[in-house]
Amino acid sequence: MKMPISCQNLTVAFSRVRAVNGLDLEVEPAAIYGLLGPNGAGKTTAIKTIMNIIRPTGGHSSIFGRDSRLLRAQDFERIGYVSENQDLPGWMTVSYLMKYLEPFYPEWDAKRAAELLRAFDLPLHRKLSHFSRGMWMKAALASSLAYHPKLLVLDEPFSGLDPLVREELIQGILESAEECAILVSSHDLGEIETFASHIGYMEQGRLVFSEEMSSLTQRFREVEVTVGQPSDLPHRSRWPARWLRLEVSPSLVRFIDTGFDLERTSAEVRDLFSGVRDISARPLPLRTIFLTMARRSREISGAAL
Amino acid sequence: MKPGVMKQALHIFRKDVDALRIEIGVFVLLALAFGWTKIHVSNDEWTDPLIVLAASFLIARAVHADALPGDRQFWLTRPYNRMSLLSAKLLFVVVCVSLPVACAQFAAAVGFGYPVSQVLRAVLFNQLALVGLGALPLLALSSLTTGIVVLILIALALALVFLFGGPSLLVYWVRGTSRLGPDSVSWIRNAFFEVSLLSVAAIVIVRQYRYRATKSGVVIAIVGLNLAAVGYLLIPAVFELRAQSWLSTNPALSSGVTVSLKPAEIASLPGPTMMTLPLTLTAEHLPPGTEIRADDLDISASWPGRPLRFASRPGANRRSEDAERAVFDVALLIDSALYRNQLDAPLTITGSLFLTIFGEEERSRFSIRNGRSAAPDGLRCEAFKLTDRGRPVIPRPGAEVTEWHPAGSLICAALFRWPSRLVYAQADAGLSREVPSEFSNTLITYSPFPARLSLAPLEVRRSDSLESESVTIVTRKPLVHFRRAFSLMGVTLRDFSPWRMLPRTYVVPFQ
Repeated sequence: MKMPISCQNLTVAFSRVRAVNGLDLEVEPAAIYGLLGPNGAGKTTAIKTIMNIIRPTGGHSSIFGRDSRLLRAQDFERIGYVSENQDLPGWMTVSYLMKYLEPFYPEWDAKRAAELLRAFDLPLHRKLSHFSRGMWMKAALASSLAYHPKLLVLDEPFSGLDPLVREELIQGILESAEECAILVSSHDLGEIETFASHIGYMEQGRLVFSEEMSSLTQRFREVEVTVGQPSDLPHRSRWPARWLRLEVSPSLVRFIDTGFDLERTSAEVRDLFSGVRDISARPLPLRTIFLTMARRSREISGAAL
Repeated sequence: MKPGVMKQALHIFRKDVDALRIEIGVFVLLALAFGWTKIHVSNDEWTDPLIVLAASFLIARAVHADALPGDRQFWLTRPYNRMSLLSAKLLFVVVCVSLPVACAQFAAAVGFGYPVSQVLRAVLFNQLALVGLGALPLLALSSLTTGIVVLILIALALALVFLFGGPSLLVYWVRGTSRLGPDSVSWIRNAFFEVSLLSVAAIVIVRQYRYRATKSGVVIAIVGLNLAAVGYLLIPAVFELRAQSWLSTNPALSSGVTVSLKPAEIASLPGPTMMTLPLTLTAEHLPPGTEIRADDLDISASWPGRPLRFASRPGANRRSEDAERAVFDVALLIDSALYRNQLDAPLTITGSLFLTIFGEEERSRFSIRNGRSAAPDGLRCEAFKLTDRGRPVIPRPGAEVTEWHPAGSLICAALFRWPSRLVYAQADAGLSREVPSEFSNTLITYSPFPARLSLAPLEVRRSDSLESESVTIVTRKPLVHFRRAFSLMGVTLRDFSPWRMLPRTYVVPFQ
C-alpha cells in the first residue's frame, strides 16, 4: 500500500538558509503522526512542501505515491489541509464556504458537513472575517473533514486556542482518525500526547527522531538512583551519551535516559555510582521529552558555536 | 476543454461574481454612464479613464480573489483544476468587464444610426482588441501579484522603466534617434508591439496558472515588455513603408509614375546655427482621375568621401498638382557652419519617396438642415452646434436641427475608426466650393483593422468652416502604395543661395 506521506532527503532552502535539511519522513496509513519541534525547526515549511504549496530545492516527497510537485486536483479530493497560516475567503459565510466547496469533492457528505457544523457550533450566516480565531479554525477543519479525506494534514491547528475549542477540534479529528492518516504539527504537546500514534521531532530542519508513541514513552524514562553515601559525580566522559539532564545530590542521582532498558541502565548505574540502594524509572510526559530534546539540541548548537 | 473543467470554471466564476457583486454593480453603472455620454455627448470622454480604471480594478480583484503567488491561499490545497481557474478569470473578464462596455458601445453606435450587423462586427473586433491588449496584460500582471497595492507599485515601476528607461536609451545608443514612421503606416509598428505584448501576457498567464512560477514570470514580463518596446522603437520607418507597399493590391497602377528632384526655385533660409535647403520633388505621369500623397521621404546626401548628416529628417509636403503631375516641397536642415565651409563641394543627394495614389472617388450630397446623413465609407455627417461653453456636440439622434449657425462646420463620425480614405467636404458656395475642406487627411491610417484600440465607439472629425446649406462629402480610397528612388548629382551648396525669394502660398485646385 502506498504511504500517505513519504519524504526522502527533502530539502528546502531560502537563500542560504536551509529551512528543511534532508528530511526523511513517513506517515503510515491510519497513523496519527505528531510532528514536533521548536519554532523555526522547519515543520511548516516541510508540510507546505509536502502539500506542493512551496517547491523543494532537493530531495523528494510524495502523497499516496504521487510526487508532491505533480499533485493534481483529483489528488486533493482526498486530502484535507488545515493550517493556522491559511487564509480563508473572509467574505464568505460558513454556509457559503461549505456550499462552494461541495462540488469540488465527489465524496462530499452533506450530512457529515451538517453534523460537523453543528458539533462545532458555528454560526452559519456570519462572515468568516468576523470569526474569532477558534471559530476560523473550526470552520477550516469542518470544510476539510466533510469529504472523508484519506489524509488530513494539520499545521499548528491548536496554536492560540482556548482549551474548549482545542478539545472540540481534537474530537473532530479523532472522529475521522479511523478512516484516514493524520499528520499534525503542533507545539501543544499535552494534546498531541493524548491522540498521536507516532511522534517525529524536528530540529534545525532535520528529523531528530521519529517513532511510535508507545516506543517513545518506553524509551524515555526519568531514572532516580538512591545512593547510600554521598556520591561524587563521575566524569562526563564516562556517562552514556543517552543520559541527559543529570542531577546529583548527596543521596540522589537523577537523569533522563533516552534509551531506557531496565537491565542495561541498572548495570550502567551500578558501574558508575557506588552504594546504589534503589533504582526507579518512571515514564515521562511528552512535554518533558520535547523540552529535554530541545535543550539538548541547543546545548549542542551552543557548543558548536 | 473537458466538461468537468468548464463546469468547475463556471462554479469559480459564480463565486467571483458573488464576491465582487458590489464592484460589478458600480462598473455596470459606469458603463451605462459611458454609453449615455457617447450617445448624447459624443465628444465627451470623461467616462473613458474611469472605465479603464474601474475595469483594471475589477480584473485585478477577480484575479487576486484566488491569488497565485504566496503560500496562504486556501484554494492551493483544494481540488482546483488550474485551467478551470484560468477559464473562470477569463470568463469574468469577458462577462463582467467586456460585456457591459460592449453593450454601451453597441447602444451608442446603434443610437447614432449605424446598422446593427455593422456595429456588432466592429464592437466584437474592438472588444477582442481591448481584451487581448488591455485585459490580458493586466490579468498577467495581476497573476504575478497578491494585492492591488503591489500591483499598482509594480505597474508604476514598469511604466517608469518602459517610458524613461531601458528601451529608449538602448535605441538612442543603437541608432542615435528614435524617430518613428508616419502615422499612416504606424499600424505595422503598433501591430508588432501589440502581438509582442499579447504573446508575453499569454506566456506569463499560462505559466503562472500552470506552474505558479512567479519569479520567472516577473522576469519574462520585464524582459518581454522591454524587448517589445525596443523592437517597436527600432523598426525602421522604411520597413513599415515598404511593408505597406508590399501589401498593395494594385501595384501596376503606379508603374508609370516617375519622380525627379531639383533645387527649389525659392530661397534657402539661413538661421544662426541651421540652414534650410529647399528642394522640389516632382511626381509625373499619374494615372488619370487620381490624387497622390507623399507618405514619407527617406533622403541622404554626401560629397566625395563624406556623408552629410541632416539635422532633422525632412518631410515632403504636397504643394500643387494637375492632372498628371504633383509637386512636393522638401526642406533639409544643415549646419550653417558646414554650409559656409563646403559651399563648392560637389553634392550628391539620393533618396526614396513613398507615395500613395488615391482614387475610386465616391460622393454624397446632402442638406445640412436634414440632420444626420449617411456619407460614403460608413461616415455619418451633420452640422454640429456649439454649446454655450463653445464645445461641439452632436444633437441627439432624431432631434431636429432647428438652427444653423452660419459659421458652423460639418462633423463626421466613423464607427470605431476613421476610414482609410481622403475625406473632403465640398460646399455649394463659398471658399470651400473651390478648396474643399479636409477632415485631417494627413492623419489617416492605412490599418486594415476595423477598429482602433479605443473605448470610443465613434471617431469624430470636424471640417473647416462651411458657409453653405448643401455639402458634398467626397472620399477617395488608397489604391496603391509605392516607392520611387531619386537622385540629384552635380549640385553644390552654393546652388541653394539664400534670400533669392520668399516662399509663396500655394492653393491646391480641387478636381
